[in-house]
Amino acid sequence: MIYTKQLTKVFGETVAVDQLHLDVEKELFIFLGPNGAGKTTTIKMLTGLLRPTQGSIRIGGIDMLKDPLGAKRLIGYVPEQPHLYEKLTAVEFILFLADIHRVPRREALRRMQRYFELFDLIDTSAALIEELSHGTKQKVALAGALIADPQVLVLDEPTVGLDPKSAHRLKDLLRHLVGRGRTIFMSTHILELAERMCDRIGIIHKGRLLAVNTLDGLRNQAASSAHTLEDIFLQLTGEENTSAFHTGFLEE
Amino acid sequence: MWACIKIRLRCAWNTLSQQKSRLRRITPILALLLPVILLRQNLLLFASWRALPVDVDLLILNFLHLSFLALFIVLFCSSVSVAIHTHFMSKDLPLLMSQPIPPWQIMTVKQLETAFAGALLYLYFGIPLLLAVGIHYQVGIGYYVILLPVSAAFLLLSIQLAILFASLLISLVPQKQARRWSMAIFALVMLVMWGGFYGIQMSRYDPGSASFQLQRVQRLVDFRPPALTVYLPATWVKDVLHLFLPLSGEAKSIWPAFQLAVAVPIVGGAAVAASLLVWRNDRRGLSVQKGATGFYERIHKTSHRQVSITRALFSKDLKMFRRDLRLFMQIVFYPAIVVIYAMMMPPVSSGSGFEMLSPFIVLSFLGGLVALNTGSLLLPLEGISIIYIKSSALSVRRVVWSKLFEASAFAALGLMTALLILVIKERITGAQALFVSFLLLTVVLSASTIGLLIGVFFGEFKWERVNRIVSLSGHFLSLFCYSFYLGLSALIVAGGIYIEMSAAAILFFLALSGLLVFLGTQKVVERLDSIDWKV
Repeated sequence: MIYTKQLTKVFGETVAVDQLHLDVEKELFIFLGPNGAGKTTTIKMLTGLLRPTQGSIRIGGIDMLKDPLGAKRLIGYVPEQPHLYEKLTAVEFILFLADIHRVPRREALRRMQRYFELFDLIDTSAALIEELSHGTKQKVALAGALIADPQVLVLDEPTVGLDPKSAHRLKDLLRHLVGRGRTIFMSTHILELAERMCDRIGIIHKGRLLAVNTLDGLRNQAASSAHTLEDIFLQLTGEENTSAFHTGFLEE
Repeated sequence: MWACIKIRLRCAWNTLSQQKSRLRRITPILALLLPVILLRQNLLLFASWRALPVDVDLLILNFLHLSFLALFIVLFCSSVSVAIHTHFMSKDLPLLMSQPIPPWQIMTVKQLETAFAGALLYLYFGIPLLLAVGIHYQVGIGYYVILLPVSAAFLLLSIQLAILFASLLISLVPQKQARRWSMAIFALVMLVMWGGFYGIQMSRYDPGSASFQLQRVQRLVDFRPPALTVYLPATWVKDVLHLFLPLSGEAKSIWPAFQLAVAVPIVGGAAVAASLLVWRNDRRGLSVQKGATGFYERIHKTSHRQVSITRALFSKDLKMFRRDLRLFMQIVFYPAIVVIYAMMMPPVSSGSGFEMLSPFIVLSFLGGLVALNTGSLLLPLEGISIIYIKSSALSVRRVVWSKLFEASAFAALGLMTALLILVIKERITGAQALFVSFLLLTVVLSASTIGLLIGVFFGEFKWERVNRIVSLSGHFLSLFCYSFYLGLSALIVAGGIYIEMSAAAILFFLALSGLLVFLGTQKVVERLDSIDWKV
């Protein structure tokens, strides 16, 4: 469903994403990487917010550069920060998204009710978004991404700010969506979450894709000492020495 | 306290110094031209009054007094909403209040911050007038030395009274509602003042103008302000400066200077105490009551009819305007001015050709300004939320055209109302009205395009305050581009009429405007496509 070839983005002299090759099928794909690794830049290119310097992107077989509207029709997107229209209510925001995605109103209302119940948004549905907490805004953004029932869901750190109950429901929902043949592409810093629910993991560092595999595959790929995803991640990104530094720092 | 002031100054300096474009850097310098122009205008006016058979000293003194009364009203009204923001809603307040700094010091800094916001207005309109009076009377150095403390006292007193009023408002109603009310009052006062000034028609006071009327000037000489104004700082400023002017007439007294000197610390202290009292009682923490949710009922009642993309965008923006009074005022205030202008417009000439069109030039200028202003706001107004539109299967071109239509619609509404008033008032023929409305709509579309261009290039998508959506340099550039377009259009049409090729000239004007709209929207689309949204 998501296919990128030699995907590259250069900002001035900085290569944010370098020759990225990805092939994500109907699965839950977790995209891992330290801060500034190029995760968000990749996501922005996948969702058509940023034009790649080089390379191609295909979503469901549609070329994002040649037919961006066709490709975007298949995508639902949740950004890292829930930048929502502060002067709208959650209901108005969701219905606006439904309108621009051309979702029939009856269907939009039905889905909205379902997601509002799932994420406990009913009580805050009449309040302006500016009055909502970060976590609630995040839930509204999630409901917004799901309103068009997209084939591909791109989520950038979706669990940040969510309460444990909502985070748990989100995980269940994502697994359910994958079961229904949807593709989930998700970036996260929460390794435990990635470890527990992903089908495959891609690790990006300094714009380059270091590894793509299942968790077991990554374990086999990494040194024998790496058991947890955290060990594998630190080893692959060359940051395993940080623990020695950390200990030294604390002892000082 | 100095550390708090220093950090604000550092923020301001960083904002200025980190401007990448050269135009943005020199804008503050260009902005200083306005007071210089006003100073020159005042000097010319005073000099021309000298030849009149009236008591010119009294005329100038009354003019100074009335100008400062108007300045006080504007400063007070505009500072109420600023004070609500700086004293109760500013994002740095929780951090500052949690620091080991006496709260009165924080509120004093906030008071200075509010005064700083009003200082620009005073610098533009107050200082040129005071300097013009000094230069006109060739006064000694004492006058200029006293100007600084008098100006500071006037400015501080105006904003201190505004802070007191803001504190009272906040203690009565929730802060967001208080801010809305204060902005509504400000807009209303500005509208009344604009109508008043327009009704006065300053040209009637200028002996060089064709519409000059001596009896009007005599009325200004004889003007005696209401007794209550003796308690206002505007009157004290006039009286203090009177001490340093070689004027006959009223007896001079040192008392107003004493009033000014004593009032600043007293009212300032009261303003600090009042704002702290509001903080301590946590009245500012009141939030607007959420309406009863009734989620299921509302879903049940919601229309199932599918809406078009343009309508979805338009209706979203309307909701946002309605809920942000500052925005609402931006959108409604200027069309209201256009309508007021039409009501007060001098009789339309019944001639033909350009003579028939000339009275509508001001109308088209004002209508275009509305479109320019609205156009410049509409795209940055989306904020970073524009990513939801950009990542949806919606063509950017379509969004831009919707915004163009929207910006033009607000201006067109004002213009068409104004035209309707003129049709009724002046008995303009249907054909004339149709022809003029066609030309006006063309200007509006072009101005909206310039506005969209300015908004997308000079707008701040991560805005926090509506009046900072478009940078100062953006505003200047938009005015320059729009004036150039309108000047060129007027030249083409007038030239065409002069050489008796009106139809060709109007066709050329339409082609030029069409090209501007086409290329402009194209550029807006390209720009929107190339921005790297910091999500």
